Amino acid sequence: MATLTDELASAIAELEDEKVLDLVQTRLDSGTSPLEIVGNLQQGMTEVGMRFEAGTYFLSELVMCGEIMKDAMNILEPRLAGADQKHRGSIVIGTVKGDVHDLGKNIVVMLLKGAGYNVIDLGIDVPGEKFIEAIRANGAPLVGMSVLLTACQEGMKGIIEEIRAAGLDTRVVIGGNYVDESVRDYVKADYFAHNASDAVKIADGIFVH
Amino acid sequence: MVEVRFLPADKTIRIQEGMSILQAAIAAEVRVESTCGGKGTCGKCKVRLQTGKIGNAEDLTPAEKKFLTPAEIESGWVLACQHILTEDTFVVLEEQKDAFDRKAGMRDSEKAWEHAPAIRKVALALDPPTVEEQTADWERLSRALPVDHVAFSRLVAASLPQKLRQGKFKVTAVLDGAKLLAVEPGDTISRSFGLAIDIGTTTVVAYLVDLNRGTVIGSGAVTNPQNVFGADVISRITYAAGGPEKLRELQAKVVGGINGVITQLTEKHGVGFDEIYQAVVVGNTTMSHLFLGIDPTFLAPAPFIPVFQQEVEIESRELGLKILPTAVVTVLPNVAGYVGSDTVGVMLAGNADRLPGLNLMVDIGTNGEIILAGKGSILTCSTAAGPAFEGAEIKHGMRAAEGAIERVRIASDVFVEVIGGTKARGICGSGLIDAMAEMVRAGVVETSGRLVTKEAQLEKLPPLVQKRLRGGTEFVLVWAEDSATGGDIVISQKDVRELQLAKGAIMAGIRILLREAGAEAGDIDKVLLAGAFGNYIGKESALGIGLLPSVPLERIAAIGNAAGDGAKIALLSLPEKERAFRLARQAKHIELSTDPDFQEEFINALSF
Ligand code: B12
Repeated sequence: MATLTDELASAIAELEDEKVLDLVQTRLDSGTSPLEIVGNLQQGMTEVGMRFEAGTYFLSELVMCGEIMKDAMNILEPRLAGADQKHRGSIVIGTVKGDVHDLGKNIVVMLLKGAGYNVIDLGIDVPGEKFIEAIRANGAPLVGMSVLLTACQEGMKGIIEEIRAAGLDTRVVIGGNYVDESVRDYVKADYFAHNASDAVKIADGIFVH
Repeated sequence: MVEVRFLPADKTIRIQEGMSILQAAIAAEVRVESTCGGKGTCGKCKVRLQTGKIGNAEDLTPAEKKFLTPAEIESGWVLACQHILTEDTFVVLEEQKDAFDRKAGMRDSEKAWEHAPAIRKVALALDPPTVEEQTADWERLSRALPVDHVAFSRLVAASLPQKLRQGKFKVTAVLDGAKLLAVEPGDTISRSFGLAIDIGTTTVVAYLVDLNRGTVIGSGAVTNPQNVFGADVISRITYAAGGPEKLRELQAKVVGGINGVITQLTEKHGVGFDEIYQAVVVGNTTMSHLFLGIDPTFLAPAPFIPVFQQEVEIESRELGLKILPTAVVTVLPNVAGYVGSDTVGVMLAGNADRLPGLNLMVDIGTNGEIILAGKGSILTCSTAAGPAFEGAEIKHGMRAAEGAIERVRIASDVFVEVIGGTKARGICGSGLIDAMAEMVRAGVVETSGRLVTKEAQLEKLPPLVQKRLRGGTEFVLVWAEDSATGGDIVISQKDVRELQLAKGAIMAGIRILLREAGAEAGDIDKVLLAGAFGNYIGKESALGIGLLPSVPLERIAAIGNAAGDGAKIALLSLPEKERAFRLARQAKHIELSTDPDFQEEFINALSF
């Protein structure tokens, strides 16, 4: 923890909103490239994810971090136009059919977006055909599914079967409070993650090229 | 086949090799604590082997290695769900003396209703038949009854000739409205009993009620025997969804548990099971479905649809309940998939439709049911608190049983009170809330929920308290040398987070109902805490951690097992029973899972 050398990254990690916005502005003014600034912000956000994982931060801190990021991006966005704004790849994500819990999934979405991915969030109670449609429309190499209700596990297995039956070889990562390797194996997913930071690591592993 | 012997229950069972100890325990009807239903994820089903392969680490599964300490492995502890039986085995269970009296021994709610049971007994002196007057027994009886038309009952008729002649044609008829339940020889008017049953996911309580006097003669409780299939309703539903056999198994389990209590109660109080003429049942919607043997599958996934909402009235023999076979069992109506007849019982006993002002009623449990009544409406919602308040998912959590820390004070050091006055072996829900409130107050934990680590914060703590904080990962409540387990009893950072989720979910539910009613916390005239838990949590602590909206302390009152009280009232008063039916229809259910404000309210409610 706290190995962040960059002042901006560490300001994000410490959730110092005013300092973050000041630093973004001064760096822009002094000619730092907007993309480099985004990189620092993402570094800070990754740290926030790690702290959440360790239990030192909780949901409120994550939400706060999300808001600081949003404000910072508002300053940066006009300057990013024209810059090479390619995202790192598309990921489809949703809470599986029958389940309504989405706080955890929303955090995963936030960190993935923060890490530079184009995330297509399908919301809650998402049936197989919606996943398939979105994977196709976006050519997404990775799909994330969230499940907290153990009763919806069978449904998740079915959705993954549907995706396979549709001839899509998209990687599937699953997550949720009780999800572990045995759930992954049972529903025949490719990966599972205990938390949002791991979700980013898994995505990074898939999108290396 | 292998033979498994369980101590101290001293029950022996022969079972197929390859089964787990947990499965053997289920078959032997020996209760083993297990909250995950045998998946190896809760680590609660620790048992000790007396014979068989002891202390052989190679035989242990990854789950066992995760949950057992080397010392435990050494002395033969295993996880019951993980240990596969290959030979005759001797298993010792740590007995948890349950603080059952917590749920069963609640005070009755204040009586403000008319004593008017549906059961009526009439003593009859019939003219015996003669050769001149050859009216059949049934017709002879029915024309003497004070009701216009009595439907023929095969069961009553079957033994009618004996009963009439035993009593020399002086008999007592037992009527439930216009239904003839039984005929008893002689005059038995002074004896009339009913049963109120509260089926909790964790504990089932039955009250034996004297219908003539309107008093509770006795009560008994038992752990819901369905527990072996998992602690929460979802695992029960998932099990039941496995097919009609499984559903029947769950139904038989809960009825068996209730019958056990009935046997105890009838023996203890000298009441015959066929003198129990009526039963009223409350429980959450899943429990109601399972008690009636009705498929609950679609309660688990969204949109959470129950099979029925209305009240159910059915003869006891159809359910296998050990009371008079013709007695009618009424299951009170539910409001929604996660707002059950137990909540209707709370509304009835708590007078949700009659209290002046704005009243908040909360039943805190794995599933928190919330009622906001007043301003001409009754709003309900259910919020998933999770099992943290019952000690599950908490590192040293346990149920409210002997050895559980139930009170915590922090001053120059940490001081605890333990149920049963023994050494501490863990902490129960009320203890956890107390501990949290004290930790917040004393500055051991920040309002964000983070255990303090910064030097400046640590310095403000008394030295003995400071010593108990371990690098921001845990706080020691009881040192190893003073505990019953021989290890430190701690509250971990993760425990704090679990508790935050639990209390946040309840508070967010309350706030959404307030919004719906166009009211604010300050408008609440009374906060009534239903359920055993409400009786035991410190009100100040509950306010301290933000489990309840901040109202003056004197506005908060515990109303005991109001769900059970509701069942008793419905048993003792037909008009009240009908009021319960109306209350269920009157209540407006607010679904939180799709509420646009829930997330924000929840996150705001997490901090202390
Ligand atoms: C908040 C909550 C709710 C909220 C949901 C609000 C929302 N919009 O999400 C509300 C109150 C609506 C709710 C409703 C229900 N809930 Co609820 N709920 C919870 C609670 C308290 C916290 C869940 C949470 O948000 N955790 C915080 C987040 C951050 O953690 P997380 O979800 O685990 O996510 C992390 C990881 O899992 C991972 N992750 C998550 N998703 C994904 C996806 C991918 C792709 C990856 C890689 C990673 C990943 O990363 C996240 C961040 O690190 C839990 C209990 C608990 N302590 O867990 C019960 C719980 C999940 N609920 C439960 C239940 C049963 C319900 C209900 C169906 C019934 C009920 N009332 O109890 C109802 C729905 C019906 C109804 N109307 O009441 C049960 C499930 C039990 C089971 N065996 O399935 C739980 C466990 C409580 C319990 N033991 O009874 N609930």
